[in-house]
Amino acid sequence: MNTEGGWSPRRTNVLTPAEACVEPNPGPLAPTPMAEKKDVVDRATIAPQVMGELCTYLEVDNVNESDRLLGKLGMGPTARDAMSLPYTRISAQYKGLRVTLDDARKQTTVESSINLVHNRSNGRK
Amino acid sequence: MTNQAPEMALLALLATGCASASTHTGQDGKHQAPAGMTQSRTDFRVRGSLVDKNKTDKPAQLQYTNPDEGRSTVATDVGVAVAYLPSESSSATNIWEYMLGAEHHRNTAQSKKQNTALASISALGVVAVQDNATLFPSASLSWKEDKEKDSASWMASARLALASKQLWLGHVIPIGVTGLLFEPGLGAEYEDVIDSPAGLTANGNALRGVYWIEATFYPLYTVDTGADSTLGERLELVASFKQWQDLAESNFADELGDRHTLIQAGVQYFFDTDKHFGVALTFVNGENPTESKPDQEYVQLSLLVKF
Repeated sequence: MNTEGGWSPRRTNVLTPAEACVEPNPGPLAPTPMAEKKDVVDRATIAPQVMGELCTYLEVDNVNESDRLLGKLGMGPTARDAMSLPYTRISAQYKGLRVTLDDARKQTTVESSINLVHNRSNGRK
Repeated sequence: MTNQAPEMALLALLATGCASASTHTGQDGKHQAPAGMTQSRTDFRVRGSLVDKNKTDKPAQLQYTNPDEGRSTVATDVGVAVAYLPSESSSATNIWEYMLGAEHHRNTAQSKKQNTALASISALGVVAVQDNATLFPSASLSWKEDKEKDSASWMASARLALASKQLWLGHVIPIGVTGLLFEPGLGAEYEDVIDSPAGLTANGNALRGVYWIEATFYPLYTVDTGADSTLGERLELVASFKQWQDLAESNFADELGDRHTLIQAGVQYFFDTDKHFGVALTFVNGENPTESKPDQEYVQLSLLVKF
């Protein structure tokens, strides 16, 4: 049961990772070089997907954005490396960039992991 | 093993990173990946080693040693590579990274002289075997020049590491207020020395098996230190044991026996929560035939800078 506002795969009032896997609509590209590119997918869509992958991998009911990957969730460097695969799968849904082992290993919190996948999903390095 | 008196090394600079030069097929419509695929990407990388999976996350290193007695020495471990990451689909069960790179390992200390240059092409995979178990296969083909032995060789290696929640590999095992982390792996290397001066080493080949285990102990893992809740993960006692076993040799001049062991143990403390700056005291004993690192024993004090 989630008591700290985190994401749990058992909750019914939020999207599951599968439900969140909607086909993105990137919309029209910016007409001028000066205009900012619009995100293909927003962070609120990515967050439950990333948290869902972490819950599945760690066999836990919920994780919070503030959780530290090593200190709270016990993920060593190799375990963090492993998340590069599910994170890449998420990014692929939005035609984003690959998430490398280095990318995944450098993350320290769930929040930073969400930010990473959000950036890669939108084609940002 | 040699049994020299340990020396203290004052350390200079460590720098690492996946430097930023990156290109990818853009969202301009010209090279767009098909639906459900990532875009391909290239990265420029700088690190301590490209071939040794144990050290691929270690920073490139420039080390200056000023012992109490004798002359000062310089040591470097640096690898530079271009990595290519092909498109992957949203249903991929494995992903691969390919690297073309070069590395240089140099030590001017009289007791542990090393001057090795390698050029390599390598592949590193992430393969899901279960929801919470992942294999990391890797393979590389390297050209190595050992300027200390004045020899040249090529080497093929394959390695395998595993992360598994069920086996507690890659995941911290909580023990009271402490935590213990195990990260093992194994592999094989084939080295063919094709150019060596007569009388020092002979041309020939060697097939070596290699296995390793790295253990990290967090003495304050679950200790609540108030405002700073990250102290438990910033203080680490790290020990690694790595052993190579010669499985087959031709007329290889085996100066060091059939078994080669490298043991490292030390303590690391990082000053900041993101572990960018730290200090480490490390005891090193043994040899590393992959890098032509001779048998040695020393203690070093290091300033760590990682980005």
